[in-house]
Amino acid sequence: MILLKYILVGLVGSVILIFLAKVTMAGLLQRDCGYYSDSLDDEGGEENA
Amino acid sequence: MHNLHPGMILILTGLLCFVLPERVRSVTAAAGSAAALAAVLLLGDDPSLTYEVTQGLTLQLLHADRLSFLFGLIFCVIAVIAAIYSRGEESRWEKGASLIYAGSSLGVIFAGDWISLICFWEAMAVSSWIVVWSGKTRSAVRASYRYLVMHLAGGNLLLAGGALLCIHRGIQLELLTGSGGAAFWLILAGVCINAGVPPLHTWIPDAYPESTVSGTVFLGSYTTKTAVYILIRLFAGTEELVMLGAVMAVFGACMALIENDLRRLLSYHIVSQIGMMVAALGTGSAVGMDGAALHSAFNILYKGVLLMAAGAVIRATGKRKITELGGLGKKMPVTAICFLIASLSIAGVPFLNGFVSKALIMESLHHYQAAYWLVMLAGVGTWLSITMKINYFVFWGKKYAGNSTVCEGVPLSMNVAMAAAALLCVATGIFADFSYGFTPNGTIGHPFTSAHILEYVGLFVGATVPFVLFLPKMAPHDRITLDFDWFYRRWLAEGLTKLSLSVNGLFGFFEQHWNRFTYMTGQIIKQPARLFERGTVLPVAESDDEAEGDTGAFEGDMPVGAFMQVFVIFCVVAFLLIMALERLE
Repeated sequence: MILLKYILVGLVGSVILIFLAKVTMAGLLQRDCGYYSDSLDDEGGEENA
Repeated sequence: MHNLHPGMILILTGLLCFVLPERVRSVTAAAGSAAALAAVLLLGDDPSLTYEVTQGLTLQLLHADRLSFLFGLIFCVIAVIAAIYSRGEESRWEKGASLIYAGSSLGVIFAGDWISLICFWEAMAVSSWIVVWSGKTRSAVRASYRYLVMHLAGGNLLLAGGALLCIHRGIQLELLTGSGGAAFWLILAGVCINAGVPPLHTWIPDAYPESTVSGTVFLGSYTTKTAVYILIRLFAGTEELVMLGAVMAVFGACMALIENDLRRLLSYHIVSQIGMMVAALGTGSAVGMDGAALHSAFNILYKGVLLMAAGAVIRATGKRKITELGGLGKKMPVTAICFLIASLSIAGVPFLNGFVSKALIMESLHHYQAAYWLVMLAGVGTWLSITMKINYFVFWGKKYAGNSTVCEGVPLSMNVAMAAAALLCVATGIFADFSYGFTPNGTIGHPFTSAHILEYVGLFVGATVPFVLFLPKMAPHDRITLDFDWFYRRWLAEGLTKLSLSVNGLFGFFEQHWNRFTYMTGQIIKQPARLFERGTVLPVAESDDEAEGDTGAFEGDMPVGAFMQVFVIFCVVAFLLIMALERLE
């Protein structure tokens, strides 16, 4: 019974996390790799490579 | 038994490394770390090392109890392992700074008063900044300055809070829980920066991945764990920390799940793991404090292995993104096996040390149901993002399509260090009673009950199913993830740039008109009669260049605006500080 309960917890928990991270957070927060490097010119504080 | 300060041994060894030739530097570092470890092991029951600054002001540099002994011991163990791992890998600056950093951390652990603690705290910030800076790449240098700003801000908060406490209560360290007031919040904020509590955590994933492979091992072991020690020592039982820690644990796990950079992913897991410790110590119970302390000690071990293995991968392949790696299990078997052990350990798989310490953390959270389930969720996230994701996509799964990872050999010293730390993860997990013997309050857990083992087995089996079902979705993407540092790396930087240009423009405007005024005045003095001639307009400069004379175009005078800007900000901050202090009084 304990085993089944925690299998369910693991299953539900991982689905929640995958949705939260890979769908919601990734959609909101992920950008192209050059995001910071092309953000400012020489007068700014970031990369200009 | 003796009163020799283990931190001082490491600091002196670090200073020695600055001047020693390369061939003896690594041996000296390992010997110094081993000597510090011996010094910790041979500390007496009530060691004391004091220094009288003036009459009536005596600093207690060495004060040890069971809590500081546990942290001191593990700090020295990882210093020895990291010294072996980094054999022949570091520059003079990095080698010396790493040991001073480790020694300063020990100084914080064994400090018995506020003044010693703050001095070692600041030394830790500066020395760790040099370690990040030693990455020597452009991004490492820039990350190091952001790191320094964060840590100096944290140090100043601690200094302000500590100064207030010294005035009202004296210099001795004592539990602050429930005391409230400005000092309480200033110190808590300062320590939270070092602990990486969101949104103050950004320096961890920003700076740690930019250091050298050996530098990251030192960085991952000391700053955040020292903060956990201070939180246990001064803030245990602050119930606000329970939910804060639980949310922190889930946040770190989620960020790790979408991260592509190997060491950045592991950095987010530092945030997640520290969150678990913060939640446990927030309960204020003996089991919670012991769980946090033991988990912190074991975290240094398994996180050390994970960072060392990631470093070995980067050294062997020259690549740091998961999307550029794959199928390394056969090419780097020692690294892969050590990583597997540590990844199982961090997830809390039975008979490994993470399971032993996490049992205490979960037990302490039984009365805080929301926090309990959030920490459980973070455990699932750890399983998904480290144990499954990295092991599959970097070591044991099939390679990325079209990716052929070229792999060089890993030095023997790296393999020995990783294997030794992995062995300690197994040993301290199997011999749980031995591990519990180090807990500050003497809590003995009982993790090896069938129910407890089944809980974790069930949890991991359940979590694996969606990973397999959504395997294509679980693959990382070659993109970066924005974090709270966006506010100062993009928004604040752009804002400051615009402010700077505006200030320059303003000064340019005044300078131009001043030059025009002086030119006209000169002309009038030379030929005053022209002023009264009918129909004559006042003389003006023929061009801006002429008007400005030798000053040249204003475009190049950026520092004028920048200095004025700094001056104005300084005045505003000083004014606010004075107002705040007056209000406090």
